[in-house]
Amino acid sequence: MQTLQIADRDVQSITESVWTSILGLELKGNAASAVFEGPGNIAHIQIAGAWSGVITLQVSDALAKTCAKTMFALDSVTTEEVRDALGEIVNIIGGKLKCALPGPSRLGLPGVCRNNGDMNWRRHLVPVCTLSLASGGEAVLFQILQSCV
Amino acid sequence: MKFLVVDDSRAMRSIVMRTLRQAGFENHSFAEAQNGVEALKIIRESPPDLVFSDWDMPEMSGIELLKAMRSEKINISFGFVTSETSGEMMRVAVEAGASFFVIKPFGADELQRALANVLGS
Repeated sequence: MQTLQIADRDVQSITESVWTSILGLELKGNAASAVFEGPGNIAHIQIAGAWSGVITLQVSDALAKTCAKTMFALDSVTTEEVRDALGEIVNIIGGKLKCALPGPSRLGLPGVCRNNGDMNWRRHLVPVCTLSLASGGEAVLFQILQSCV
Repeated sequence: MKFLVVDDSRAMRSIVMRTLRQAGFENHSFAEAQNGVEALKIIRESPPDLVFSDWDMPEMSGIELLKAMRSEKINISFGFVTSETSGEMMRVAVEAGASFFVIKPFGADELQRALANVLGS
């Protein structure tokens, strides 16, 4: 399997571009590590092929609701709508990154889970890109995790 | 004109329809499907004039939907709304009969441009 051949600044540029286009919110790099109050949400999508791994986007509950309200153009949203919205954001970022990563590869379907501290799902994944970002005063943690099996 | 929007994300279907209205198609009708299977059922029962479809979906993908339509001699204009833009994908889509691509994320201008080519205006 090939290694990641894309600079962090290019990953950040893609992520910021998608975030801003869909949500109309700024997404800026933050020198400090992303800190979340409460478990928050992790949206994830798998890429498999010449390069294999998982792309994750972690946001707080408050920011997740803001994302969903914007995408659905609603004043209040359900948990399912929050999951749908976050899944679509990571899906679009994943699609853009897939084109920039070694190919051929296939993009999986997105998923969203609660960050309950269980790291077991990451045991065969190694972080190769970590971006601590911020949007609307809320932390956003973006990671590319490369498969190590 | 009747549009069929096919995407497993309800958020994205909402965005496509909202942006189409912003692009000047506010008085047109819309139908939604969350995968190719649902879309094919709608297309057979109440054919739209134009289909916007995601590429990756559970049950039946966008390219599978397009191939199924063409195998049934259903020649409705069909475009992909997708975040992936590899040359190989585009080649496969065009060979299967796709008329246009809209790359996510998009705005009203991108939809207008894509539709201008299809509608010839």
